[in-house]
Amino acid sequence: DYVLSNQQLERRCPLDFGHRKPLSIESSPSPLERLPAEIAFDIFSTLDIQSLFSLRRASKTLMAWVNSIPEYRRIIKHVPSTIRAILSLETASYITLHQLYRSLQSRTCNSCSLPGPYICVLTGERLCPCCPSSRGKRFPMLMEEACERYGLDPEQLNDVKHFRARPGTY
Amino acid sequence: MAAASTSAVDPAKKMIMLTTSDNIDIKVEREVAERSILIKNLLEDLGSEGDEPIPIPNVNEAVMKKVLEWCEQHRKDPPATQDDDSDSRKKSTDIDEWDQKFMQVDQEMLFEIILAANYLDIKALLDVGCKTVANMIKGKSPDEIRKTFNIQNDFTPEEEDQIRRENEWAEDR
Repeated sequence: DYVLSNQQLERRCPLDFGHRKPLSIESSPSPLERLPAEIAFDIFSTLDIQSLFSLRRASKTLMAWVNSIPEYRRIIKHVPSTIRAILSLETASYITLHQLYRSLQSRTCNSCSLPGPYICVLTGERLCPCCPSSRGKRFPMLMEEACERYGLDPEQLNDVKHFRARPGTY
Repeated sequence: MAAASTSAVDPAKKMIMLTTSDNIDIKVEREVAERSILIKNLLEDLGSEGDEPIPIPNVNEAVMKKVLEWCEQHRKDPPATQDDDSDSRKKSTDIDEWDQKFMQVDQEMLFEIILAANYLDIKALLDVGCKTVANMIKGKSPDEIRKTFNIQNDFTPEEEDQIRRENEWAEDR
């Protein structure tokens, strides 16, 4: 199986869990920080997870904003490992918060209707055990292998969805 | 004469008056103004006369004109449906070419338009505004986001470093 262990992820990528509190926001010089919550949530939940994590690091106010997005809060509370894995494998820019939330809510594989116990860290989709291995296109490939097979140089691969392998049970 | 009599009976073409927060009266065709659900409901509540100016106390003249420019362009768009709210809307980040040009304004105006669209209840315009802001955030580093939106960094350098490290994979722990 291609699965990262929860314990490993928890230690290597602990997440900050919103321990830091913001100052008052009414006086903020930034119109972004003064937006009404419902509009801010609308904007933020369409962002990819990488951008969302950059946004949280911009200021305490924005961190508090992101922490209180309902989808974000539920994911961090119940399945922080998913976020850890996505950040650790550096695929967060491919997946929006909204997409991930929907995949986590569903029970069945995205491509067939079988039960899907896995979340694909590259696309954020829910998967069954069979689809990834039976369909060549979903199967990850080593960088060198891809270069050789398609005659590409490593530079060109930057535009292809890729992830960084981390030690796990493979 | 025939033209004059048709325009007289067509309520969509009837001119109505809006009074902005800075006390300026703006004349606009009813159909254009009714892209705003707030104004549409107000007109319906007031009856079909619509001769009295409608006060819009949260929006100033400059912003109102900009919003009405958008309403004019989109006057024939199908009205938003209830379930439009959730998925189809959130999925795509593309913005119509005309809307993209329309949103090329300074940031203060962009946020004013968003707030006005929210207040006036013009979902499609609010959406375009939100997508524009989302696209301004996408792919940027925390520092680039601060510069773009004039955000004060209230983290200490130590906190900043710690947060960065907590949210990435590190072998040395």
